[in-house]
Amino acid sequence: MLVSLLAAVLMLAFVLLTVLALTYLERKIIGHFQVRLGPMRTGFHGLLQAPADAVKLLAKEDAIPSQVDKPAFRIAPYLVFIPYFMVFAAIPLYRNIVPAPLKLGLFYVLAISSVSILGMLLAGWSSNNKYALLSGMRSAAQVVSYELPLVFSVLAVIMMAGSLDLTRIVSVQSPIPFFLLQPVGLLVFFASSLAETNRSPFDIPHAESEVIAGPFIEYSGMRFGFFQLGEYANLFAVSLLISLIYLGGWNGPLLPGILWLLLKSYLIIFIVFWIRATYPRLRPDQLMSFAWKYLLPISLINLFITAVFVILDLNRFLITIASLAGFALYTFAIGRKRFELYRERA
Amino acid sequence: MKNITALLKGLWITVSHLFKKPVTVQYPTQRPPISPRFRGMVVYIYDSEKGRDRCTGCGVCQAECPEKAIYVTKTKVDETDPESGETKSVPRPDVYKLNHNTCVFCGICVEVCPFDALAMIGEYELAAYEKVDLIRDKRDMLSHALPKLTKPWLEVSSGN
Repeated sequence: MLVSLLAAVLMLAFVLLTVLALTYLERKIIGHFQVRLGPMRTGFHGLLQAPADAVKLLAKEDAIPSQVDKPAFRIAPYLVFIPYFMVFAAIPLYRNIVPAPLKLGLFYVLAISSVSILGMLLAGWSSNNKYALLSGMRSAAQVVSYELPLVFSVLAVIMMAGSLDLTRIVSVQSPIPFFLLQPVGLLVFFASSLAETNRSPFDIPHAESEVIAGPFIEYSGMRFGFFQLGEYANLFAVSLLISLIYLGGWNGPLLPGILWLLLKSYLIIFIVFWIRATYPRLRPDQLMSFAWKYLLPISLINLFITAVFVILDLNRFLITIASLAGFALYTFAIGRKRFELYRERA
Repeated sequence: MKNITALLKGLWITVSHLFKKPVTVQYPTQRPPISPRFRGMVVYIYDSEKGRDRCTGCGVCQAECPEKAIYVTKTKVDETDPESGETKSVPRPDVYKLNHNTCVFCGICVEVCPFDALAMIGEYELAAYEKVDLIRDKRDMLSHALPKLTKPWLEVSSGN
């Protein structure tokens, strides 16, 4: 009892520190991508920027607009923040470093992380603001549609590992990590988790140039801070999850396992920032058609191929080849169809 | 296939920018280089070699200023020529005021001055707390000018 409480507190502190580091890293990395310097004034090379921002948010006046639905407005930040942090309860950092070792860990993580969309929707609704409502709706639609390919791509991994226990999924990968056997699954999972975390190019709910700050537009001070904490915690959770179920988690030579896990997840986070620095934002209809016409069929094809090969108990590398072939075929077919449609219109 | 290579090309472009030297100038400590012909603050030039004003208060600058930012009045002053030693009554400005509130830094006053008594220097931090502080008379313009008057400007203003 006491041990698990201590583990929970330690995990919470670790996640909060990581979130602080991530806000700094994002600003710094995006700055250098844009040939700028990023934060420089607070401390050595702006290292104290994140604590300074936290202090600023805490010191701000707790302003609530008069026309909002007050109970809902007050509870929404916590509905976003708490599920994102609850996810970490079941995420192992090493073989036995996990606050709550669950048999159904992966299921729990996927289920809990989508609860926070309620908070987003509530924030959008209760703010009594057209931009907030619009982007609350948008993010709900986005998360619901990207949940499916995400879950289907994870399902293929679960079939190969034969378990929902994250520790077991990692230990299964000790010779060959799953990204070699499930490359299509990794792509689908990564794309959908970008959408789940509202990151660019799927940051439509946040779209600074049209709906300003998304569902959080009426929020300020620490309430806004809670949303930000939740978002970054979710980013970290997703990158941990990708490195656990596709990149082999803590398996790796020389370095201690926990360092390997963190290295892998920071690599994922760097790629997320890189993508943000590169691609423009999609339109809502493009986002929807990408999820339903592209990611979902591909993840289903991948799932089907994996299922067949697992049942027939064939060589595992055949799955890689077959799923890549299925991916290429589907892409080709879609391209052909689009070409025909284009010719008809012309 | 073409789409995928396009996506990768985009990623390559951004990551190649990641390792470039940032273009940021950390302003108050670092400053961008100012070109010698930069049109900054207007200064009034006192001829320190001959120990006298160059301005004769003719008022061409006042007449030409599109913003009516200059105000000059003329008087007669007895001055001794350092070379010949004779004392003459010469025209000099009595009041010379330049209003930086309305000045648009067009540089016409510098161009039209027949005695090269005005110049523009690379000084661009002209903010003041009061509007009155921006109305500068001869002495203010001089005191700002003397330490910061860069060589190229002296050459340009006294060249012909």
